[in-house]
Amino acid sequence: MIVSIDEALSLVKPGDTITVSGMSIHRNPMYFVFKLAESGVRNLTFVDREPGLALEVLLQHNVLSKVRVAMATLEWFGMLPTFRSKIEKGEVELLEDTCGAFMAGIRAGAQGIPFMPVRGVLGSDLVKLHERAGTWKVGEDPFTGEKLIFVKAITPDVAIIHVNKADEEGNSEILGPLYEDEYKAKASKKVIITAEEIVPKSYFYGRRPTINAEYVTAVVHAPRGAEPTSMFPLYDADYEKILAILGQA
Amino acid sequence: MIDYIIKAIATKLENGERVYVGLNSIPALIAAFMARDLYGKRIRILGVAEADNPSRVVVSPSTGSPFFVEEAPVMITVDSFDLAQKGLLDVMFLGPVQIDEETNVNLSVIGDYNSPKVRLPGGAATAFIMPLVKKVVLWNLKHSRRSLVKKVDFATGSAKYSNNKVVVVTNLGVLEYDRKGKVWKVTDLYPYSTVEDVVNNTEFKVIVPEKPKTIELTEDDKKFIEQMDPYNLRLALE
Repeated sequence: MIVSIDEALSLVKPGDTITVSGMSIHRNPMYFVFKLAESGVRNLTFVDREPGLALEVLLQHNVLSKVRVAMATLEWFGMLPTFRSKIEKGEVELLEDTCGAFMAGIRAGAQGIPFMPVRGVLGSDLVKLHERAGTWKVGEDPFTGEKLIFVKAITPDVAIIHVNKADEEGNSEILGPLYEDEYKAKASKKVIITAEEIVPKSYFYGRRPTINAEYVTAVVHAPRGAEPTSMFPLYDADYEKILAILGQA
Repeated sequence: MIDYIIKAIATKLENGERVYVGLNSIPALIAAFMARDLYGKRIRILGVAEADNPSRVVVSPSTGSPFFVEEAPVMITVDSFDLAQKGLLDVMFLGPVQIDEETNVNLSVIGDYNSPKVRLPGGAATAFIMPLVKKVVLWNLKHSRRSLVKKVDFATGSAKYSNNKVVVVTNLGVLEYDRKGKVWKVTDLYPYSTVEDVVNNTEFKVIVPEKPKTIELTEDDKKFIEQMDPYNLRLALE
């Protein structure tokens, strides 16, 4: 199951919906993302909760036509410049999400159920946008009548997850923050793992991987594969390189 | 100026609270640790760095950075936000660009939603969490009639269907939403700001008490803030 980067890239087809690991400037699968940006694939939909650098790079290379996110920020470095400009110009379609609803949708996808209710959200103008898009519905708890948002399952075509360790079958371990990466892997139809380190199968004997091999389609050995985003505990974000990508160096 | 905002946020936190610090939230991050470690308030600090009540944090360009939190187990945000759905998350901090008279907040766009003059980063947890926590602390560093508005351009989130406490901390003072009167009240000012500053720079009507409190900054406060933010990253937000 360990494949070359080119074999892994061929798993992403034009028109696919993809999701990636990490958030902001942390543990984005940048090695894969840079290669994907050069690959010429187009018209992808990108779904995530709080993406940062990976989204910016994919937008810079015109890989995406639709984006569904709760927030797109590089925090202290400011907003994603290409996200802002492409949406202001109407070049990319945006479906704005909110964290709890994304978490409900991706968990429904992971569990193989059609939707998941979420509390909160009511009162937000996002509700009508999602009702129009067919991704949320206002409903009632059938037991108590409590008004809730039902979030349709999110089931991306491909998840690309950068991990600390993986074995040849795809069992993977992530150290430090996980975000929704476990659910993203479980919810997606294909899962590409890029790994800092390939470990023997025995590493996972008697130990629960963050992501089990059952979900994984391909493994790519990608040391320093999150650069210039951070990879806990191996390396911190490379702020100079991030600024260079943003054209601010 | 931002140090007053940090102090104001810290004073609004109370014993027993479990607070969550989100992405891109330097003032809230410093304030939460100031409340816990300088004022000795018994609070627990969760956040987007997915660390459960770390002993210490140094401010870095990302409030989500796992490299600047010390001595903490990982607690994923899904679990923290499940606590919110259970009613067990007490405080959330949000930094909207617009806040209106009904507690609606905007982190999405300036102008028309579908052809915005300015596209903003989006609200992250805002819509989900505003109605769920017991206390919403909003901060805005540019208090003006364009930020504290009669009606937001887009309601990214709202606490109007909740019964929770909502406060707004700005560079001019602190407002609290009075749910009975459906009106914002000025509760605190700074040594450099006046009631008139707040009234003149707010598009909606505010209630002014006879004697609003004044939030002062002590040498200990300044020292604590500088210790947490040795590179003065917070100053770039002003």
